[in-house]
Amino acid sequence: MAIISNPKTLDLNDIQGMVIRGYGKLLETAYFLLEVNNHKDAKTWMQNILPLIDSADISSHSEKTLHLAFTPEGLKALGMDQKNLDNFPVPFKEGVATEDRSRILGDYGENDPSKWRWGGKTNSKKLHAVLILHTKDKETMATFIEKEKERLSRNGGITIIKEMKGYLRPDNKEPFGFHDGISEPVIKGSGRPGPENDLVETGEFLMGYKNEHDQFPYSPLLETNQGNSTLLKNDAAGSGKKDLGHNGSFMVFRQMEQHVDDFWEYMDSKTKNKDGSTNEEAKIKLASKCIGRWPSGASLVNFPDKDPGGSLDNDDFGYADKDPDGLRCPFGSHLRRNNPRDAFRWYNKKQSLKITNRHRIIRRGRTYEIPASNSNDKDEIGLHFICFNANLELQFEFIQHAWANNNQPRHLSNDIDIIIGVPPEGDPNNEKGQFTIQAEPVNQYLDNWKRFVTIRGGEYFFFPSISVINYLTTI
Amino acid sequence: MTRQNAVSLQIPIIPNQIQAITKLLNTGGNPSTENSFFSFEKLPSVHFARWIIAPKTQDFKASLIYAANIDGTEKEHLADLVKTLANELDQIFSYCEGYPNESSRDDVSRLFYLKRHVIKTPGFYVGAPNRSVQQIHQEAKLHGAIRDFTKVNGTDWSSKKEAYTAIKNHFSNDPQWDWAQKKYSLPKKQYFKSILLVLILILILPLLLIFIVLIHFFYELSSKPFGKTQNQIPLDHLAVLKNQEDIIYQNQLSQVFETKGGLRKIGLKFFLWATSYAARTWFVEGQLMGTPTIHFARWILIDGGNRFVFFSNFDGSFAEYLGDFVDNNGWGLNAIYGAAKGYPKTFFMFGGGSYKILEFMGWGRLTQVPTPIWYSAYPWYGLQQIIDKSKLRVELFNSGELNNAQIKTMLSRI
Repeated sequence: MAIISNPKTLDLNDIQGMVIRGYGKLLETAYFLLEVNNHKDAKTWMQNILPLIDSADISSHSEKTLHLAFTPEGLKALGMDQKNLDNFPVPFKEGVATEDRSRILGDYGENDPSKWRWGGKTNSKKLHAVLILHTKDKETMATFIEKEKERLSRNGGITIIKEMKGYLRPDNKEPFGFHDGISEPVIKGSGRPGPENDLVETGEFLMGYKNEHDQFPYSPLLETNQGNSTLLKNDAAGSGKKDLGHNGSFMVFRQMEQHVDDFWEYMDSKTKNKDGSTNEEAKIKLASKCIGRWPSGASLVNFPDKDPGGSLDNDDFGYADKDPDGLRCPFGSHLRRNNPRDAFRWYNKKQSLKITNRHRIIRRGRTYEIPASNSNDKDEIGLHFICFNANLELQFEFIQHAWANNNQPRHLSNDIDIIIGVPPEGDPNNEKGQFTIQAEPVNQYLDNWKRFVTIRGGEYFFFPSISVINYLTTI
Repeated sequence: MTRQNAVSLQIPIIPNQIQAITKLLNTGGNPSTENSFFSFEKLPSVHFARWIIAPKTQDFKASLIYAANIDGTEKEHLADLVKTLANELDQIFSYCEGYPNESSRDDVSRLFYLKRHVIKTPGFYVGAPNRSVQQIHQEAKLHGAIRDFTKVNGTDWSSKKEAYTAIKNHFSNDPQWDWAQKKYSLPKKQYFKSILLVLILILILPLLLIFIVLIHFFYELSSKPFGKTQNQIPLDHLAVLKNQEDIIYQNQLSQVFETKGGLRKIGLKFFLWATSYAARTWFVEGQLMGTPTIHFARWILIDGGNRFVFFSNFDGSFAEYLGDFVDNNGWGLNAIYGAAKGYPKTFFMFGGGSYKILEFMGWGRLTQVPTPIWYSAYPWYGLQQIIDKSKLRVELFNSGELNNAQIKTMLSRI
């Protein structure tokens, strides 16, 4: 697979940066969950921060960036007409925590939204928007936070209902110890070159452009004229209406606690030497088989036996040629399931890639830590999972349900994605889920799994273009 | 060898009883379990079954529709129903036209009533043909036992051949698996009959081309698609449907369409016939034109063919199912559903239509009706797993000695 060029055709200045950029050098992050108390003041605040919202245009690189996203309640609080709100897609309007969505996403038991800290059904406070801050280091972040808090309190139209922090390790490893964020689709028209198979149509991530079905994704159009609609683009699909979605995306935000000790204790328990001592190499290999890459990020397909070490963020590989039987990277591994690349089911490469690329997401997750609040508690660590997609149902929800939670992919029976998979609640064999490592002469099976990830919060957000944020100040 | 059959009934509902029968059916369970009002579990020959209401519209009266996928014959199944669930049938049919009075009800009159309302099933697809409910459960149990045996002993085996021999010996010598050694062969593609279908299609190709052109000018240009995505249809309609989904591994889909008239109706009948024919002769290995998740599907014509109904029992969600079809054979959908009112505009019969995926899904939801009673005899089995478990059994017990390549395949199924 070759790295191919990808000419810039998008108006990057209008797109909020996070859709296209990972901000790998801005290691610190903060999230302010916001409530709009007074829409007039809130709009003044939005006007004030508008110049600080970072665009996807690399030439406008900043060391302190802001991004802003809204819930339906937030748009309503700003004064959006109900008819315009009604035009947003159903999953966004209903939110992440409906009963049917919880079944699809596996949000039951410990993951039940009623137990979440924020978002979903935890309606004690009104979640209207999220402001995301990035800086290069902790010191800059501290002053940035202080400044933005001061700006908010001076304004008075908006309250911070929750503040969360996160960070990216310089080596980009997530809490289990694996290099993360390697496989990202490259948006066509963004100007960034990428591996041929990762180059995905713009409309999979940004509204207003054709997607992998050669169709325009569903986009919220202006039904009733309000505000300064000259700030809005026309609907690219040709309805003649103004498009609130153009250059915007939908953002999934989920707080996922990771039980790191349990994870490694499990791997250790299954790979001990005969004398009961730890077999470090076997332990790491098993964990890597479950994840689908080595801790360094090296692919199991290219390095089946041993982690070559270092930091390998090479994403230029497929499964079809080198690993059709899953002997290198198990079919049920977290990464192979959720991005089957050129080997989906038993389809040929072309068909596999076509289907895979209709279900991609752009991930922008970062690690968080919460220190123990008392001596009985343990420190908590996990991932602030964030992803972008134009169609929540066919991308994020599809991947979680059809690929991660599916305990019978290909010809596996009762196999689990040990990281994020949650099989159906009512399945009598729920507890007996196992992970199959394709091997010779016979497969190996690992059972007695614990859940290594627990959902602690989350919501769906509208991630508008910069010009639409500006528009929202005029409604 | 068991052949699965389809039983379809259409029964007119007394016009002022629609609410009452809906209320009753809603106690029936989706999915239906042993404690449900209409417990299909008492009928061991049923794979999947459902009761739905084809709604009253301006032009059509409301009907009760029953569909069951069964082992054995229609006659046996109807007799079974009367014998086992007479009381439940009485309750349901008391809201239907022409059901005998309480005093004149007995098994004979009940059976007569059922038979009177049987309708044909012109379109029928079976994902895993030639397997009884019992066999599917038995093969799953065998697979589990082989896996457990492999888990315990796998580290002792140094070669595939050794593994194969050990497994075969162990299970051949245990009488509880004697059934597995009885002669059974997997359904095979019938090349001759399939070629015959292709020949027929080639033979009528000139006619078909004229037909497509006529469809284009007389139907497609003036078609009136609903033109709505899932985001633009009433939320309460969507909520009722979604509340019945993603509960077990499988899902159901019940759709009722109004048929376009004339040539479209003729075309529909032809394509249903061709699909059914190909389903029996070619698509017998678990995929319908590339879609590998359908256990049973059927199309029936009701109200004199002026409406038609689609029922499917499949793995995965609504979005996955419709997406699978669009990814693999959207043109086939267009040929059949182009005959349904409101379908996204097709282009010379096979183009357009379902390829406008968001509009297609919106149309799917708008034509979907609730399935108040739905039953699956094996709610947690994926179709490909059912097939794979049959293959494992056949390879192990019904295929003589395997060569190395065959052994490799067989072991990979465990």
